Amino acid sequence: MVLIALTISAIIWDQYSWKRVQADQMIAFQRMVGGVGMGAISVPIWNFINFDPRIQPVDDSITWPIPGGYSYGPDRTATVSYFEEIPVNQLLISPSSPPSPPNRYDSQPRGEEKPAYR
Amino acid sequence: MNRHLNLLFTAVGNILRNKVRSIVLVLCLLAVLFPFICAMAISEGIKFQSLISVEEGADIYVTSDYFGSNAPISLEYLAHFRKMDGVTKVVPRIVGRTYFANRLATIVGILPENIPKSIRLVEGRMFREKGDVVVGKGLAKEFILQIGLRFSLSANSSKLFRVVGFFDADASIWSANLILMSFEDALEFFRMEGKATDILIYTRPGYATILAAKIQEEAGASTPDRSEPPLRVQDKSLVKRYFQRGFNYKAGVFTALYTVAFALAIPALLIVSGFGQTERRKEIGILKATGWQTQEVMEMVAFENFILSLTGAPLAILLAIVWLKWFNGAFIAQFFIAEIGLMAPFSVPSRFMPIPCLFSFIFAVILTMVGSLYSTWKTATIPPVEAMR
Repeated sequence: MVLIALTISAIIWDQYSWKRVQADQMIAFQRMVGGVGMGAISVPIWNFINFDPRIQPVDDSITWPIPGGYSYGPDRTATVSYFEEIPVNQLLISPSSPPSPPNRYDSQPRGEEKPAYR
Repeated sequence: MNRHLNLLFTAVGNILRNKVRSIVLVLCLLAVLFPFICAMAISEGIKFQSLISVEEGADIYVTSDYFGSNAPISLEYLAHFRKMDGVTKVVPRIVGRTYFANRLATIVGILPENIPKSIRLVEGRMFREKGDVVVGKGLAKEFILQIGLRFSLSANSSKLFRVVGFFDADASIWSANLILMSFEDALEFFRMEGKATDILIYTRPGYATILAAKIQEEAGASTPDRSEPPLRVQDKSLVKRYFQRGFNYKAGVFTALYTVAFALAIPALLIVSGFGQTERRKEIGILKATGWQTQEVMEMVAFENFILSLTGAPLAILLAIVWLKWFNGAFIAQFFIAEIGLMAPFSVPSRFMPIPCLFSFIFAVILTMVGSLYSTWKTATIPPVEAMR
């Protein structure tokens, strides 16, 4: 019973301390820098997405050292946050089919008007 | 009711009589629950700080988009954004990375008018003159930096800096390896005249999404003679989505992995709780021979497990609180916050929420019950003579 009472008191104390003490300096800091950092990493050791997806929402660590190879970002290990790029739909379907492109190997006399899409 | 109370007292008696077995079981529960509670508390702590970062940050972040990655944005956009309806403030910012000696550091360049009066430094003052920088506690501690120290960095050795202050360790975990300077100094250091990493737009309430869509639309309007690259616009709602996905997904994965670990711990505990199994078999045999029902034996064992879980789970929570708050998560925090070393240079954020604590108790009950109820039932259903043999 003592243990349980102690544990509950400790949890309540922790909740109270978070509400009261620490937030003012964090708020002042984040207001000053315009919001920096988000995940469980304090330095952008490999890429910015682990540090803050606002600064770099693309995990470019997969492009090096071996393009398309394994990502060495430390956030892939045992940390408690992980950011992925949020996909944005960029597909635009035209209402009518575009004109078929001319065969580039077709002979085209010099000075002839270029197609409109070029 | 009396019968249940009697069984409860017998269970307490059993726990006290089999001290070694009880201690081993509680230690096993501690070993299993302690990392789980620590991880959840650190996750909640970082989540809390992240939410402040999101809420107190800008309403819209605009950068250039070069080949699908963020890229510096021209300062010429500032005037255009300032004219937009609903915009209250437009601020350029530089966030870059560089090495301070052999340690990777984040450089943040801001306009001096953005510094709030309420910001508290552990030592020194904010930057006022050209070349002044405020350094994070982590870098200051690691390299024993002092106020007034002049230095340059190899990325641009012609640019001279002077340390004028150190951040408070409580500011946020992201201030630990940060070098804060004026926007002009950061521009000079990175040699990116006329550019910023991003432009922060603050809007009137309710305008952020509409303005973000408008900027994106303007930037996306393709004209054949357009030479500037497209813009990437991120508004607060998108950043909040990052926040929710970033934490809930990973915390979810962690919990899932831990559940697997729990599942693996069950057979281990089955063996451990069978510690003194011969004695336990004899005890059950005697109880059965003296007229105890199988149900009563099971109830007594369930009480034992419940009491042990009620001891193990709160002990694990208390130990985690002491370790994270008093010892700043020494040796443990580095498993959950990447690249901080054995002793974190900042206050490791940990927040003990009731739900994970309740979960840890439930896990403890499941573990001990699964570990012993089956073996007890098996022993209790065989003839007492055989059990006592």
